[in-house]
Amino acid sequence: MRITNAQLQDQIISFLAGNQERLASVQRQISTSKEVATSSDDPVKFNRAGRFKSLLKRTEQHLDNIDSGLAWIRVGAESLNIVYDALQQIRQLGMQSRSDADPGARATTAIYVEAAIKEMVQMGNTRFAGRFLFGGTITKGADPFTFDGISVTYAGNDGEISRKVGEGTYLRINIVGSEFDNIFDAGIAMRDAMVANDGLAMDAALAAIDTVSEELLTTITGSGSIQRRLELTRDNLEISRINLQATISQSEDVDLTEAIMRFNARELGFRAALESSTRIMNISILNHLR
Amino acid sequence: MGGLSLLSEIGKQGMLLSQFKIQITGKNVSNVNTEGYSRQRVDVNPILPELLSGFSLASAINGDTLRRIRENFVDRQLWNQNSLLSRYTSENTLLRQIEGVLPASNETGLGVILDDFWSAWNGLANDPESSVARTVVRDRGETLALSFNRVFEEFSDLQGVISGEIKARVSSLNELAFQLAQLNELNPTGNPDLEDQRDRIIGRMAELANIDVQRGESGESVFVSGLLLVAGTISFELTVQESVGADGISQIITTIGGTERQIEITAGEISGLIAVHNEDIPTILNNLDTLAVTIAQEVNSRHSAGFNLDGVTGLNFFTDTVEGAGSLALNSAILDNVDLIASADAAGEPGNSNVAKSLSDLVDIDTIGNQTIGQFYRSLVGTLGNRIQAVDFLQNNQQRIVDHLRAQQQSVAGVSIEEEMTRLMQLEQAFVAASRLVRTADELTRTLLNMT
Repeated sequence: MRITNAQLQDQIISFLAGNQERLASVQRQISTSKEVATSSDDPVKFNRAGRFKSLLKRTEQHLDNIDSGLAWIRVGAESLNIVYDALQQIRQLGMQSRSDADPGARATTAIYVEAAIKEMVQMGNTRFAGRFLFGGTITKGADPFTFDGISVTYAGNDGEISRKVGEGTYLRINIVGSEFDNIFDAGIAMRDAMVANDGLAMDAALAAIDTVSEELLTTITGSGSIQRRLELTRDNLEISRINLQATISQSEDVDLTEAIMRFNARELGFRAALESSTRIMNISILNHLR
Repeated sequence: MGGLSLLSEIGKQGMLLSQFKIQITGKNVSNVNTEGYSRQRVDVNPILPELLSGFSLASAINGDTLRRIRENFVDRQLWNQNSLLSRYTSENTLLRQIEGVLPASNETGLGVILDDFWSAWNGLANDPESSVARTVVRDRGETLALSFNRVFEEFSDLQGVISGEIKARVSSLNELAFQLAQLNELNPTGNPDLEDQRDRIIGRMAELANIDVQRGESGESVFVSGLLLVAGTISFELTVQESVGADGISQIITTIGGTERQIEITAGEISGLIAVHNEDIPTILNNLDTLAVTIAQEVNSRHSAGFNLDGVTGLNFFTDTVEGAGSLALNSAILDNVDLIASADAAGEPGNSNVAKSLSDLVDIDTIGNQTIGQFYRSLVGTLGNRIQAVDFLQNNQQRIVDHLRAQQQSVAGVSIEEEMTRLMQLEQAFVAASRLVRTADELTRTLLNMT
């Protein structure tokens, strides 16, 4: 084949440009540490990385939701424990007063019982971050429980407050006041029996307190098991978060060792091409003509 | 004439011939790097003394015997293959521009903005009483709308730029057609410089469009998709007709000679530009419109069923008039007052966040065919990536074919300095030898004169 100057130049330019392009592409991978930066680099891997990144974001959001839900539910359980203690205190006062038949002493004890009832009402109106814990979805405005001295009325509703913990999965984190508002009736019945100095009514009130205490305990235990469920879900989400991060990295991150090896090989190739091109360009009949 | 004066005449002609050949060698050397130049050679008939008396020297060195060395067959192949290469190259460049406009990265793209929007609703579902969470929802919603608007505008701008490019390319094709017709009038065949110029013009035309060249009596005729663009010494013009559809998306066709007769250009830069202008960009714009309309509908239908903290209901989150990516915008009432954002499905329940929940659940709901909004967007980006990869592949292969053909042509038509220098030395020797003939004739004549 006849070789001409232009042909030689075209060839050299095309080879050098090719070498440079390959060198630039591996350099870009190294400096961004990404093998796939745009969709056109590798549509399949890019799409997979995008999908998993979106999932990762959602997982992190669910973890946040669980954290805020746990805080809510823990404060709720804490308040209910205090309510339970106050209820036990009323029971204690009732037992003592039952064995002590002095009407004056019973009337005095009734004052302590009323104080305990007020404490329970106050706990029932606990706010967390400015929101009522036990008012259902009526979290703002007037207190859910009001005590007018005769009875306690519940102004909240049975609305559910929940946190999203997975695709379409919500866990309820609130306990509504109507679940435990019978404790007030039992406490008030005890107070009224003491004031009336009615031993039989006190017995009935004691029995009622035992029943509602049992129910309240069940409610508190229930919230504990929701807590554990949230914690369990959190642990699972943590694991899938780590897995997702690994998968994303596999889809788009570059294997640096391999990339640097490739870079070195291509650099060598480029240098060799440059070297041979310069030498060829310098060979000419003109160097040999006088 | 005869005898010694003939001898001196032969010498003179030899010298002139060598000189002319040296000139041509010089021309070849000077054009070693000229694009489209074919090396030239002088073909001469032997100088026959017995014929000399009747002929003038001019006929031996006139243009008829100067010819270029070139493979016409390779030229034709090169034009065709180069047409395809130009198409792929222009498509590739434009598609990569599109990839830049469509925020396709996994870090900042529309997909991420969408995810942020849904997660803002999740935040409001956790804190339905909060106006901070509402502000976040509004701001992310606004970012989403503005991003859609920006992408739509950039694509419309890009389409405008491409349509300008198409018009410019078509008018240079027309100009080239005119030049070729004029050149045909000069009848370039046999004149190496004009032949080179003709081939350069045709080569440039081939880069712009798919052309078919036929050699006729009145020069080269050029067809584009079967219709005559240059017929010998007559040239026609292509015109560009642009129409904007109801969706605001522009379409371009080319017609011949101001008629309504459409010409489909299938290769060359113009075809690449038209393909991206008429197909790729409209497809993406349509998909973005679908996306924007779906988002607005789904969000509005859920939002308008909800109640805000003050018990107001029936408000849309986005405007009622979202027709596409360009018109996605937040309801101006919500833009002014975040408290109007609804989160509850019943009035008077500040802790109720069922509407915010159902909005944040949209992230997982198949709303466009069997795809979620996010999946639909990602597959849009994925399709574009696939298209670029395919064009990349075609371009690289085509480049190899063209490189090979070009090397083949260069091998025949290109100038080799080594060859020309060697020839120069030969010609120098021939010149010296011919001059020796004249001197010998002179010496012989002098001897004869001395004899008298």
